[in-house]
Amino acid sequence: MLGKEDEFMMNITAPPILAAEDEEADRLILELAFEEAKLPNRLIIVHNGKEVVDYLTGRPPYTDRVAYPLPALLLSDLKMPHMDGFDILEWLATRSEFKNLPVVIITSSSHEGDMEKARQLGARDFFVKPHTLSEYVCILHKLHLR
Amino acid sequence: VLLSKDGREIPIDDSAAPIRQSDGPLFGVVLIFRNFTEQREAQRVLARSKEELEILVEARTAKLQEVVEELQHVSYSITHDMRAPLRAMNIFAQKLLEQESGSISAQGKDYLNRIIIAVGRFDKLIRDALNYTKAVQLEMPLESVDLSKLIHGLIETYPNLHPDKADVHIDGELPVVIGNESLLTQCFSNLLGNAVKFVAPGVKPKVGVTAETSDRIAKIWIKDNGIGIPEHAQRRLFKMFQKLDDQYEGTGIGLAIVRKVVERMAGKVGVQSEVGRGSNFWVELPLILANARKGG
Repeated sequence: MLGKEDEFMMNITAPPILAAEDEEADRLILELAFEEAKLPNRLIIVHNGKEVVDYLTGRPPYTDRVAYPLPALLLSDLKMPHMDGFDILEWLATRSEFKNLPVVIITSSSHEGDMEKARQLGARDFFVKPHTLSEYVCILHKLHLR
Repeated sequence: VLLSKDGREIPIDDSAAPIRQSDGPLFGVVLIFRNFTEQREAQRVLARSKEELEILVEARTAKLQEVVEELQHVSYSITHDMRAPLRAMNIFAQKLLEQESGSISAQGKDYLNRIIIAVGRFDKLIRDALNYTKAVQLEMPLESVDLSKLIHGLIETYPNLHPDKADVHIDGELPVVIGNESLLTQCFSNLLGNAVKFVAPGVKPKVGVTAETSDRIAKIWIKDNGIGIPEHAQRRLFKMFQKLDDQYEGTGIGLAIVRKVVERMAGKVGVQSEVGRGSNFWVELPLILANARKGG
């Protein structure tokens, strides 16, 4: 167990990873994979693209930058209500303050067209959601190494 | 055109022939005028019908294209959305098996394993169906493909084809054919996968790949030491969802994909087999001639 001080140190040394995922089951899977991957970053999951925008721009309920620091990485699903993964990429392209925020798409779709479109819109990487936790953990380690 | 007394124009078809006595001088001419009104009208109607038909064909083709695109989109979405809950079932069942292992009875573990296997089978079915639609729809530029390189690559990639699991032997050089690399990969990975899969229990799979070439066609043979296929089943082997033996895992889509991709490359596929004496699958593909090969 981490003490409060350790947790505080971890938060300042490693900025969190922000994930956008609307499916309840996939959110839990992501949390389990994160637990197993033992990354130093904290995982914060929001439900859709609109909440990503709220988080990044510090709109309520994400006004407190100590509790909700800017992320080191955005992991995003593609198909989501309100604003989907493509919408997020398009929005980020208009905001120069986030030009260094890497976005990685993790989705059920292995459609080449989706992959191509995501890359064109600026996604750093594209992963198809794996069917085992160990593959998820592998992806997270790979992302962390970069 | 002839002009009638009342000023009407009458389209005509005319012909003329000279009249002369045998070897004598010309003393007359026969002129024949045929009223051409009806034929002219028929030609006009025909031209108009042709034009209308072309417009109709164009409109219906566009409509059909739209329907096909819509269906592609629907089948694509269904196959992907169907895989999502399966992914969750698989991961949570595995997590349960690992994390709660101490508190689950042997019977309970057996049920969980059955869930995992069933989910895996369902997922494979969806992936194969997706591969089939891809095989049908994929744009496929034809190019020259070196089969030796492609098949050696497959043997290296698939663990089931590695020497510890199976003896897969390529006899000599395989030709360079005209085809599409991604479709050929699909075709030969399915055929080789089947060749090492359908063996009697305890038998190590032995597979030989050979090629014979005529001046325009290459015929690739994949010969195995498997259980063989009864003659009555050979005819329906390449159709969708045909499973010949319940003891072997499979979706019954693999050979349908093989047939589809080979046909799309203007080739043919077939099998010679006898129960208990293995199978010889063959694929015929257009061949690049030796001189064309040197040139390109």
